[in-house]
Amino acid sequence: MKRILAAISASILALTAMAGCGTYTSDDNASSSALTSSGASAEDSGSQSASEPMTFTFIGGHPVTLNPILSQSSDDGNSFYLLESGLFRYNENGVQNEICENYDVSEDGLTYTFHLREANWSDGEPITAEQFAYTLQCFLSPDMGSPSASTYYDILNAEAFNNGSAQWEEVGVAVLDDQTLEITLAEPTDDFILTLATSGLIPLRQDFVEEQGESFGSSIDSLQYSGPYTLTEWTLDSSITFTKNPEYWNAENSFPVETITLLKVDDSNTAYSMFENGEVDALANVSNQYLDALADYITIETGANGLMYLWINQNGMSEDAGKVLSNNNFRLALNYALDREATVNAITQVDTPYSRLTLPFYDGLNGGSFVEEYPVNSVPLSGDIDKAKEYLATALEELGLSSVEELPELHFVTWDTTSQKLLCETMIDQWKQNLGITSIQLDQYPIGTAIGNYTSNEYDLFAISLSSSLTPWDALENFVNGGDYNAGIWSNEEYDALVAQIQTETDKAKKYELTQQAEQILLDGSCIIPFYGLSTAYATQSYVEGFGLGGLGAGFLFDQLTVQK
Amino acid sequence: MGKYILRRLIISLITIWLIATCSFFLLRLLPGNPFATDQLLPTEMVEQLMDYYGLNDPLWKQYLTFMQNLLHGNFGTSLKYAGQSVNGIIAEKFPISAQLGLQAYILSLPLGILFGILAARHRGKALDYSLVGFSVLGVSVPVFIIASLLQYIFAIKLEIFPVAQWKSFWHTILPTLTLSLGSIAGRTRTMRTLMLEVISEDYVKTAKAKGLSSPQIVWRHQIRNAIIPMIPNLGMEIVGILMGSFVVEQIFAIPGIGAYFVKSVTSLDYTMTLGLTVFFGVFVVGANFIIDLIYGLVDPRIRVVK
Repeated sequence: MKRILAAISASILALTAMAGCGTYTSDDNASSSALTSSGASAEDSGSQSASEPMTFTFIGGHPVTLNPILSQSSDDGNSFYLLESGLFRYNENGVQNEICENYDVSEDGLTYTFHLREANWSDGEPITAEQFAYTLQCFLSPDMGSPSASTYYDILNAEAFNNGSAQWEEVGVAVLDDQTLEITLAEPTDDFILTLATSGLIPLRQDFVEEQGESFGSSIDSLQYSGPYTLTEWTLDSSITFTKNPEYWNAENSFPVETITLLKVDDSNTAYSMFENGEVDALANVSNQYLDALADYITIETGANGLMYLWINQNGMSEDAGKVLSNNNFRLALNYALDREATVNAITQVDTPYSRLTLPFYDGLNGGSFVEEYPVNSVPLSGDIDKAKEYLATALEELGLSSVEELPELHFVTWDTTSQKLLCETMIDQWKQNLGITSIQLDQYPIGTAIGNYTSNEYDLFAISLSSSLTPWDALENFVNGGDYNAGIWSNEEYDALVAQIQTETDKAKKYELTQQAEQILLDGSCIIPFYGLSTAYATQSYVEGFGLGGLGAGFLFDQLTVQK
Repeated sequence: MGKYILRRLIISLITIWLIATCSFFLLRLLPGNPFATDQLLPTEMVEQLMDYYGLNDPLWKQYLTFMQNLLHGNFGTSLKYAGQSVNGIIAEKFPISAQLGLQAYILSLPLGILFGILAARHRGKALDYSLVGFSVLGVSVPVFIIASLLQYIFAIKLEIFPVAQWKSFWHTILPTLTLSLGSIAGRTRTMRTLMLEVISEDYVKTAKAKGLSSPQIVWRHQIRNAIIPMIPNLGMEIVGILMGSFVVEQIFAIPGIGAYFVKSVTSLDYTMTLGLTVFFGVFVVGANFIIDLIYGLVDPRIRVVK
């Protein structure tokens, strides 16, 4: 027995020894105070002097890479916002000038001349026009594999260069001098500045990028900082610390918080406990089950995150399914039978039921929103069962079927997360209740497989969200036959022709009208069906001000953030 | 013995090669691509990435590259975490899981054995029943409930330990407890059964007849014999525990390797999945190899047979 005791005490010794050589993510002051903060913060509040640097800790999505050329995750965006300065920066109301002090547009709307302000990198080197041009070259170069390339296809010859059929010298990007960058577009467009502000066009220094090679953007040592903060600690998928960059051109007037720490906590219960315990100042995303518990702290930002769509493949997976699904009345029946309001209430609570393609935050021509000024006929948000039944009756007649029992088996393909399963099952249930259709079955796969099915059109029905576009017509372009999100599941020549016309139309009023017509055709076609707008619910402690999502839904804002604990 | 070791080594290498090859091709049989997320990317974006990572090359060519890199101990770059090498991620995350696992192991091994012995020695008495009751609970209550309970009591109510994260020794205590509770319970049951088997053996009776004291009988004759069947399991358990617990790591926001194992498969991050599979394959094969050798050393009967 003595030896067993000895063994136990030895193991305790080993434990303490191990504690000494820990693998812990960081041992800085922020972490050691985390333990005491829960007990002490209550007494400390108020006594903390105003001159003490502010710190802000929040839980949110973590960047998967900080290599801007290969970045494709929206979670990377918040980090680029804090670490780098583009020509423009998005803010609460829209766009403000950043490194670009002012710019001129030529009369034909094709040539933009950007005049850069005097600004430095965190190491004191100047930010130059050449560095922006180099970034564009990286994005567009065919052997860089950048997923951002198509964002810049508005630029003259950019697409051709990206496909390998033009030289870089032919692309409409010219460096006039260190402070002047000239970009020439292929077609005039209204939203080029908006694109620059929300896409990742940041300066990059060629010598550094080439020196880093493959590891560029993978750790704090393989990055350079032109923005309001520098990266001082980064543990992949765990925590990331941003520290104020004194060299930032506007450091005195904006971004008052000294250190920002972003934690990743996957378990929503843990995140909630940490917020309750005062260990974090904000949650960037509150999961549904805590909406009530955190009601006092929550802000809900609607719609800007993207739209959830139901996709109906008119060719079907099988010939029988194709016959039924290519019937427009049948698709309309499915669409009208859905009660979007009830569905959203049942499954997500924060999201917004929606049945239009154009989002409420697009501006119209006369001061209102696009949606108000250009109405279309869309499905009522609570559905219309009578109409759905009419459509179904017509469809069955056209198909020569006597009842819904004769419908072929239809496959609703999706992946295996709880929320996704719930969404699909709710829809299937409504078709069953409202129309008596029982032949739709749910096929669940791992996400990669499910999306593989989507891209190869191996589905009858599919539900997935798209991130929102910046303008009404951007969204329309995606759905032409062969477009980004329509690999042949719906074809309508009138629609395709209209979209082509919109792209070249320069008269704004005309462009808006055409957009309205095209939207109507798409909605009537009922193959690509907007279902609800994705919202974000975030929670902030009462002492935090100025933390929120920008109007464009591009990411969180920190420029006026204050933390008065 | 030398010949035996050499043979085992060669078999081990072949096993690892088989693991690597099978996982490479099985993984590619899954439809879909690594760039699928729950929000759609334009097809041309995906194509750009596929080209960049060489995923549009013929499969045999990709296999050769993979094997060539593997021979140099290079698992390649993650497809999801652009710029991060799989080796780097393993080097960063594995020690964290290993520390957590080892702490839990060091806590649960002696405690489990001790409880098992105590229960067996006091068979049918109150101590036995309470230990058996504890072990039934420990085995059947899911880890995430234990974790939430510990968080609630010790972090939120008593404020002794932090809720989550991995920043100091204090941060490791709750996850270690969570992880070890189940294995303490399991080991208590196993050890109790093994002890009970041994107690009625002839050599124990002989020892008693010789007039040995009770602690001597327990230590020399009962424990030594009871513990032998546990040894092969110990090896596999160590491997299992080092691989990290996905659930515990997730609940306590520990940046260990468990999550990568699960998520890289579902997100079809080929290089990461292959890297981790081969890495742990080597681990399991290596551990088995060593355990076989130790087993021979501990159990005299095996030595005689050999």
